[in-house]
Amino acid sequence: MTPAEAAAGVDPAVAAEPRGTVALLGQPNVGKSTVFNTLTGLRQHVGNWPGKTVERKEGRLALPDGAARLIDLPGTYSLTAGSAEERIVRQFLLHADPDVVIFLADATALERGLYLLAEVLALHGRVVVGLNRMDVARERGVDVDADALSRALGLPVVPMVARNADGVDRLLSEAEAVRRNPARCQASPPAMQGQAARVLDDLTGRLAPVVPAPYPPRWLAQKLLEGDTEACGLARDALGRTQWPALEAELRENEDLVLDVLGARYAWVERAVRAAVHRPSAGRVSWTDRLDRIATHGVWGFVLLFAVLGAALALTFEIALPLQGWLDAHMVQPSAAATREALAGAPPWLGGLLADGVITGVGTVLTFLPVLALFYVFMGILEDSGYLARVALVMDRFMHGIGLHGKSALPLTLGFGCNVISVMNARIIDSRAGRLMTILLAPLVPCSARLAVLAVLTPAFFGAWASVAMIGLIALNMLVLAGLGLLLNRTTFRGAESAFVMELPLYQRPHLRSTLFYVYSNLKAFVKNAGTVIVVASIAIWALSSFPGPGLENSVLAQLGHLVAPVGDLMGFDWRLIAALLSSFVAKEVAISTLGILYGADGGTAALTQALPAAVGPAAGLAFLAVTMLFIPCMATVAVMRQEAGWAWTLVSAVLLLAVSLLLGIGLYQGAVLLGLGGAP
Amino acid sequence: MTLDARETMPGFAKPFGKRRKIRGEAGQVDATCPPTDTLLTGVPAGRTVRVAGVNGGYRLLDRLSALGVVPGAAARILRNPRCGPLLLQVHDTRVALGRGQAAKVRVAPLPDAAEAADDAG
Repeated sequence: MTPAEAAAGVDPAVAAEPRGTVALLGQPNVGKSTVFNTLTGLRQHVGNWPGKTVERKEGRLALPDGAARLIDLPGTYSLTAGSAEERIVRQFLLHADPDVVIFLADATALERGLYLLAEVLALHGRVVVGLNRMDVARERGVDVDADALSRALGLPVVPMVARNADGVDRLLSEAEAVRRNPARCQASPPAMQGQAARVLDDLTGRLAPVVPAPYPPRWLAQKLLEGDTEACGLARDALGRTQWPALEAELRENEDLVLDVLGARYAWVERAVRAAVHRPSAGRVSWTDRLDRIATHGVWGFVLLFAVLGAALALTFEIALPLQGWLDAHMVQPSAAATREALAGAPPWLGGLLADGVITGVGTVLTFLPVLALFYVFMGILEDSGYLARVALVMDRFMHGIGLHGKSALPLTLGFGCNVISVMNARIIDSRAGRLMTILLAPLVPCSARLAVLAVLTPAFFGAWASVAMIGLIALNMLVLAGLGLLLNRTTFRGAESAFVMELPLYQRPHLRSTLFYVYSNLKAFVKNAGTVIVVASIAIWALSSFPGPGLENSVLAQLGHLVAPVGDLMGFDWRLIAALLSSFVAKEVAISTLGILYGADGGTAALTQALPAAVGPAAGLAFLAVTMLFIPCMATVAVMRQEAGWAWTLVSAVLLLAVSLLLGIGLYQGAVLLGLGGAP
Repeated sequence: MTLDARETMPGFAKPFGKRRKIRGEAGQVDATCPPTDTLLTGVPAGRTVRVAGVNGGYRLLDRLSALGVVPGAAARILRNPRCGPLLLQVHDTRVALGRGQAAKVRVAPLPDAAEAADDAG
């Protein structure tokens, strides 16, 4: 606080402009988000790191000496530039140079935490260590002496139980103390010996004159020994074509020194752990041991997983979707009707715009909220408890083949209810490539709305063979999903997910407060990001299907249907089927009502079942259903895909799905005609 | 498992274009590795072994080190199914390892039970 502010009596905690930056850092599963939520409360902003599909959380931190920005850095296990998260963390430490880093370690797995700390200290010295889950460590018979650890590390160490907010105040005061007096931190990162030290000195000497700020030359030299690709690029650019080859030769000569670097890091960790950790009663059988005997078992693990998946589907079909339908029937539709009635005297387009454009869009967003909340709670509990990691372990052997992470099984299963839920929950997958793959494949899971379209239209086209056609079409979807997964895995995401190395965290009781925060911040993001896109898309589709009018038959949508008729011809589609397909962008079930209007059978599904076979042959019907199942998903799904993966990937997905659905549609129609399934009605 | 077979196992991207030499924790080149070395995939569940080395590239080495799977560490194998990932405990961390990755981790028997208790604890 400046003297002027002090004189004006400004409360430092609510001062308008936060000064200074504090970073929160730690490995995954150390309770970082719990600490972040406790420290910032609702004063937080969730977004993405620039150009990355990695979540960025920022909040305001009320330090005793004035507010600061608190940045929640992504959880990583190390700081070698292997993943987007690792790159973000080290770029932030280097370029943003935060005043203080709050480093969170797990008292039940201190070795791992300190390993990351060793890497952090090579980049940034002003660190306060929060030692979380002291209670769990004690339960497991591990006694961690925070003061001894503090002496061994040369850093302030605060014992904590973040779930109960124990130690949070002290963490803040220590952070403040370090901000005021950086000399409180006297840590020395791991030191090399022998050959490694000599090579490191030599490399550092060569790099020091040319390496641009803010990269510490010694850190860069060490990362070169560790085979860090980003560091290699940096050194290559800095040294130029004349000096790089010599350095590269030296690196090649000393490739084995990476083991010395890692060894020195672990020796440093071991020294600190030996000073601070005592195990008066080792060898206790813990909850985790007992539960994992079931959850990771070759048979019982599957039984448990299927029970969980079953519960998820039951939740979808018994509670979430009926709830959404109820909200639509009792709140959205009546408001639309009331709006139309109130505007009966006004120009008809105004009533249409408000009722069919705005209210439909806003209604879609609103009816999604309780459903999404339900699934965020469900997934939050699964994740918080530690079970989700076991799902990955059990499912890996099946998902691995198509390049998916074991955890993808869960969001993809939820896709049978709704693709939106599927895409929104893909964030449980830690790796960026795995997350993107899941998001790209999610629209291929037949959602309940598309299943409803199938249920109505297969009897119309195929009569007694309806159930065979339905099963066949669902199987086609799953085949395309697997095929596209294989293709993406071999091309775009090649090698991205080659290694399955994962920590299985200890089981713990889910934390209600964290779960509610998770639900709240995600719903807020959905309304803000996806919500606007959905409303705009809804208005656009309304305009396309109403102008110039009168009626859907004379709309731009119908003209579009006529325009792309040549493509439609290849699949046996007339313009009406094309218009129905396009209108299903609002929501998949809209295809049915559009068909009803266009085929003059506006009297419910029975009338449509009568009218359709007279106008559309079985071959075209088959192609239409296949295309509907594989086509670009509904606008809500597209909106959340954009929110989670960005426009570029959403576009890639749209183009892919368009190509796949049309190719298969054409193939199916032509094949069916060849087999004599009748192209004409 | 012969040395040749290990050398030809699929590796990871090598920034310097050449395969890293494989070495045990005490500076030995692979040719002098004690014959007692086996691969993690060959260890039945329930046994505790010492990690002797990693035959993979930098990236795998980094991932494993960050979770505590480093040369010298004691690893208790909790699950080793015929197909699908292995589950081990290193220090206080449970690590799931794909079979491909586990096949790159060399292990040796622990000298005696005392060291096992020391390393695990």
